[in-house]
Amino acid sequence: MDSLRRFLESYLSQVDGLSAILLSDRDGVGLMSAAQPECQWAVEAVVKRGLVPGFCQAAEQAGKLGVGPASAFVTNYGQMTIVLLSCQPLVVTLIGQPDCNIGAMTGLLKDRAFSEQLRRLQQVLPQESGDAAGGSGPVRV
Amino acid sequence: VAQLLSQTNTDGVQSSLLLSLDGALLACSGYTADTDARVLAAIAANLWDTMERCSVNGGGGGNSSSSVGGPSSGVGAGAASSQAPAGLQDMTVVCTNGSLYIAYVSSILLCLYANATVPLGMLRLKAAKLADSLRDPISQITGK
Repeated sequence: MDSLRRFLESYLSQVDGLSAILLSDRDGVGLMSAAQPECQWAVEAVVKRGLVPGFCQAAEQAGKLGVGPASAFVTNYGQMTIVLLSCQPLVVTLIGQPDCNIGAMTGLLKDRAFSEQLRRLQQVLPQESGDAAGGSGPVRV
Repeated sequence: VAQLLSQTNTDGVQSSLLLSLDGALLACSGYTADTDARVLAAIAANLWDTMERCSVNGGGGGNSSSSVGGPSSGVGAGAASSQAPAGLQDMTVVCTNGSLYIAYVSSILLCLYANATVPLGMLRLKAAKLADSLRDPISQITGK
């Protein structure tokens, strides 16, 4: 677990403006997080406010837009920018500064090492029958 | 208004909509594929409301003016407003075959619907410029 946390923490310095990473299931139960000390409150706020379950609910709605299942949300809350990535059955929450590199954050799933770690976690977590949050879609890393 | 909205419907941006916070379509320009524009507006408002309720910096339950953090004024933040939303300011929904960008502009929502070829930054920039054009007229109409 410590190695996974250190692995996630390494990305905090690699991606410009990235302050915290949270890995959770679709119900918002946190599996692992890494955050800069001054941004730990943001991770707790994300969990407390139920952002991940809200994202999953919204992603299910977004699937009705006619452009395929939703793979990511980029939300700007003023003080911070939060990127939520759907990686069934995981949700990756990236919390960044208002001027963070959103492209780098959304492209994190294309990072080989990061995607490999996610794939390992996906294998140990129980799969859910695809109904919500891009059930038929992304992203099986 | 439709003519103004249509100016962004180029290079992959398929439609632009103005809608109220409760999902009522106010104005629309462009092509929304198989989805009725009114349905699109309703879905966009629902997405906004869902993410706004989960706001992590003092929002939730609507775009209230109470805030834990600093000032915010939606897309193209420049002129501060005492009634600007404290929570969600804008959001991008990235789907397999397209994207949806929603932003709060003077008490209503601006929504851009684009195909997968449009870079998210360009979508955001177009929305910011459109919002700058709409902000004052909308403020005069809504009184906010």
